[in-house]
Amino acid sequence: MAEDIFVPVIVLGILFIGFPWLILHYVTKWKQAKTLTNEDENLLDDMYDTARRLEERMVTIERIMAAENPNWKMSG
Amino acid sequence: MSASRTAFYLDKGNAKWLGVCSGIADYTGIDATFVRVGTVIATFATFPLGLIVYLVIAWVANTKPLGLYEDQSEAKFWEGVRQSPTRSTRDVRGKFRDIDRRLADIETYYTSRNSRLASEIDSLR
Repeated sequence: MAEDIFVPVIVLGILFIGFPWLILHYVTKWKQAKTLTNEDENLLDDMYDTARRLEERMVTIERIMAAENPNWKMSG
Repeated sequence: MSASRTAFYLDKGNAKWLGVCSGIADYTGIDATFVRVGTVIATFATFPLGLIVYLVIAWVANTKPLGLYEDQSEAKFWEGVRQSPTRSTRDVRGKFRDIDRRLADIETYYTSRNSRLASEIDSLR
């Protein structure tokens, strides 16, 4: 009978193709949404480094400013 | 090319056995003790599935490279990135804006002082 062949074929198809497909589909979607690409990571690393160095320079400059003009913050 | 800072690594430096729990703790920022207690409970609750998962992770994951971070604050920053890249990016932007504001203060001070000086010279003429 046709049903004896079709039902197992459909069930096996859902089990071994449908489910992995569904899971992998959502895994890839989740990965795309959540993780940074390698370039993004390098860019962020660079920005973080730059920000930190700028911050250090800023602190140095502010210290020099405070030493040269003790009340620059008030008058500025 | 430098190693990825957002990948999961086994943390052999702080390992009790294979470094999976300390790796999870390092990756997420959760205290290693809680991770270990949770793992032990999970191991007993799902025996032997939890143990198999543990061993598979230990087998698949790479060991954390030495000197991945220069210092503690960098490690902290990347921990934040793993939790939420958006928030970390916003933090970095905030830092840039803060520097911009402070630099603007200094600029205003110098330009206003120069203009004050100019007006004083003008009044002496």
